[in-house]
Amino acid sequence: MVNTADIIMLGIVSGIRLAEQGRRAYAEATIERELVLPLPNFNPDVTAGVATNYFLGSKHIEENLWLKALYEKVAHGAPSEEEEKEFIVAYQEFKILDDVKNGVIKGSESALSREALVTLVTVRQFARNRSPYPRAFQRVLGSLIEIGIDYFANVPGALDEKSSSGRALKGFLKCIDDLDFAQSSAQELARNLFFAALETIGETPSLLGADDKAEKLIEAVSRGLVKDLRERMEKVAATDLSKQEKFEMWGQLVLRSVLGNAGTTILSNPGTYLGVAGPDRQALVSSVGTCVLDAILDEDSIDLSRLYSRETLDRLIKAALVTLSEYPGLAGVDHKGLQRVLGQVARDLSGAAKVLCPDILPEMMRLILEKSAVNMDLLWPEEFRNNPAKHLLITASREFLEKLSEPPAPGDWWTPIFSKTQLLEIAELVLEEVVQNPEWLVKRATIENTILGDAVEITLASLRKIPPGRISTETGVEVLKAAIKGVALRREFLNRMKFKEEEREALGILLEMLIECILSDQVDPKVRWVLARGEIFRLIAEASLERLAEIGVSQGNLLNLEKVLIQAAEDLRTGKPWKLESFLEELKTLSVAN
Amino acid sequence: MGVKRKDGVYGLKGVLILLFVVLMSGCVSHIQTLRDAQDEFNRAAFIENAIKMDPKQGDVVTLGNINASYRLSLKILSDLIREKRADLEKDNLVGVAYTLKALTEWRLGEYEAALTTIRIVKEYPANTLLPRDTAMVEALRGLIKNDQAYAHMVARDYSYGDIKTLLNESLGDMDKGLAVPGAGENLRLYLLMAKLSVLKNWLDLKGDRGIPKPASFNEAAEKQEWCEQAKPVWNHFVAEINRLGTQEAVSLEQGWANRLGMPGACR
Repeated sequence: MVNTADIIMLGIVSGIRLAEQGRRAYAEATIERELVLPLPNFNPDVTAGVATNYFLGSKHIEENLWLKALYEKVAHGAPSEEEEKEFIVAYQEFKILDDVKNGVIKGSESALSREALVTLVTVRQFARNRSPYPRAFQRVLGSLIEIGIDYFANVPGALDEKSSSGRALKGFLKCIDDLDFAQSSAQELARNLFFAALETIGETPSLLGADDKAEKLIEAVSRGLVKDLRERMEKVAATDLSKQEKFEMWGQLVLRSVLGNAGTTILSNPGTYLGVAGPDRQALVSSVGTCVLDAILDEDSIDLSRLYSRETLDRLIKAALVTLSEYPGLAGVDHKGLQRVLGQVARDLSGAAKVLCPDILPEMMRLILEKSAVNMDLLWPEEFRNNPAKHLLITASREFLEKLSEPPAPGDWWTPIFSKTQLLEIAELVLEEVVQNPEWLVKRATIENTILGDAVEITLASLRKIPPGRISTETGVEVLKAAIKGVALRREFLNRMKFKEEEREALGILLEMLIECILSDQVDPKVRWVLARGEIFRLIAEASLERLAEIGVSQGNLLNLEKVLIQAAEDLRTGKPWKLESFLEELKTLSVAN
Repeated sequence: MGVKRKDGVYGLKGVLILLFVVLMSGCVSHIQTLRDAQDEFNRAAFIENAIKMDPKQGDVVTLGNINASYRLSLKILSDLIREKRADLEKDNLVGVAYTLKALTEWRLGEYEAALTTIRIVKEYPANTLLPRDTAMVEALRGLIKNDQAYAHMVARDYSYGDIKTLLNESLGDMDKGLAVPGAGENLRLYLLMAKLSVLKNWLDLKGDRGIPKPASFNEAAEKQEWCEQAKPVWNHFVAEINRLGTQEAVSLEQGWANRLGMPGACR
């Protein structure tokens, strides 16, 4: 039996449910409401830029001299307003002709009506027929059915349970009582398309543990970087979102890298980095991150951000941290020393690096930093600390890279393409030599080059005379390294001397003698087959340079060496016994000329 | 019994209606306010688009009206989010409100605020943003970059390379919006037109003698680069136009064809 209280209670519950469904339907209708989307800013007029782009490379320019003249004036000269208008009219006429010819004219050119445009850029929340929401009436209807189910299932007597149809209906209603009709058409909503992946500074301490020193370190590194980044981003906030994103990305990378490397460097040198109290400590620690960031982002001569990867950045930062721990003075009183060095490297080496392999720049920066701490007072004296151009390793790098990047002269045969690894091998050797002996960079009297420049130039000039296809770049690099080692041991290799009617540097004489006796076209093919192998040529060049460095670079010694080479060639040509080890031994024990 | 039952049914009906009215009127004011903001935004966008296609219609008063409508929409939305955030969240309207706010801020040139708004809405669970709003949030960075590039072109205060970078990245960001599943054909058409607007700016940048070109500038290579970007956008745009198949759509295609020299420019 139905009593009034039941009905009132059911009425209240049902009312709430209906109101809730009504509210949801209203909210969903609002979500689904169409929006007119405004187009971004652009100039809708046909401009000279559109017309020049259209005509560039087109046959119309070639076929119509007047159009060609007009094009040249608009594209490269200073056209009058009338000429520009004439050019645009020409564009419109030729375009119609082209479109008709190509069958791409589809409709009238009448301007689009406001209403039509609005219709086209009026955008629904969901694609047509893809709304996950039930229609409003469906939702309310669903609620009404639910109310009905509640009513009939819970109010005894509302249905005649005794009839078979009544019992069946009640059972069915009870069985589906838990289903939410209103939600039955709901589909899964748009998936999660983006993640807030920014690693915040707050998350970073866990990487290093809760140690007191680590906390101080993180604070110092983060604070400096965050300040630097904030200032940068504020400057471009309203005018260049692209740069803002770039700053944000590099800021994160540098922060991660500094913190990632800090555990093995800063924390193992706490006295250097964290022993200083107050702002100085913060400045020294944070200078690594900020200086690297500034060098990457501010360099105008080359876009370093394109050259750095996570790995190269890590290596550079590690080198910077180690170098600073060895030699805190590198930071300078204003803590910008590191930035000056990196900036100077970019400016001085980018020209040659662009020709050779731009990817070497980050590695050159690392190498220069790594080697800087070893002999800092000589390499970058205190009085030049504000002038990174006086840093000897930067000068040395510029010197040899420029020589390597010089284009081959007419008649040059050997034109190597150095790989990044090969360039870095040479750089490692050259920089190590300069660290050991800065006099490599002393300019020779009456000669523009430094000793280093001369050694590289003479070696390359000789190697370029090797007929094509005889030695690989790898072998050439090994010979170049051997030549530098030879000059390091005996500077007289660069002295000029007369040899067979020609006066020139001993190093050049030696290398060309080797080429003449082993690699040239005049050499018997049987001899060349053995001696011109890359590995053997390298061993012979190394042994010759080494021995001459020992016994002295003289005309007589060079002649002795030539005899040994000629004899070896003769032995091989005539089929006599010949053994590489014996031959190398002979070179190594070459007697001193009287 | 029968009368009693009849009275009961009438009573139920009355209670239901009364409750519905009371509950609805009290609980939906935030929804109504959001709709007001949508109306203002639509009004401004309607006029702005019309002026973009036909700048002669853009007198000072009209431009002022556009700005006023966007400003009013932003005020409504800012107040609404501040005062009724919980209600918006409960009704799954918070994504709609934030997206509209970000779009309004973009049109008013308040780019930092727009990006902040995006950042906030992205902190909500993924299903807070529905397809159109997701696509617009994804594409908004690109829309902003285009407008920044355009502003630099007008002011001629930026290098050719920097403006081109903004335009190129703008195209990439808009692709993120286009990649959102579930977005309707009109949204795709809108985003493609936005990309065509970027390409138009690039053409104007190339043709602007007041912005010096870098030493490495090569006309033919630049055109090729432009065409590599323009061709797929144009083909996609034409495919969408054909799908719509209306006379208005064809007129729209014709307008963009003239504006960009397509498809002939890249044949």
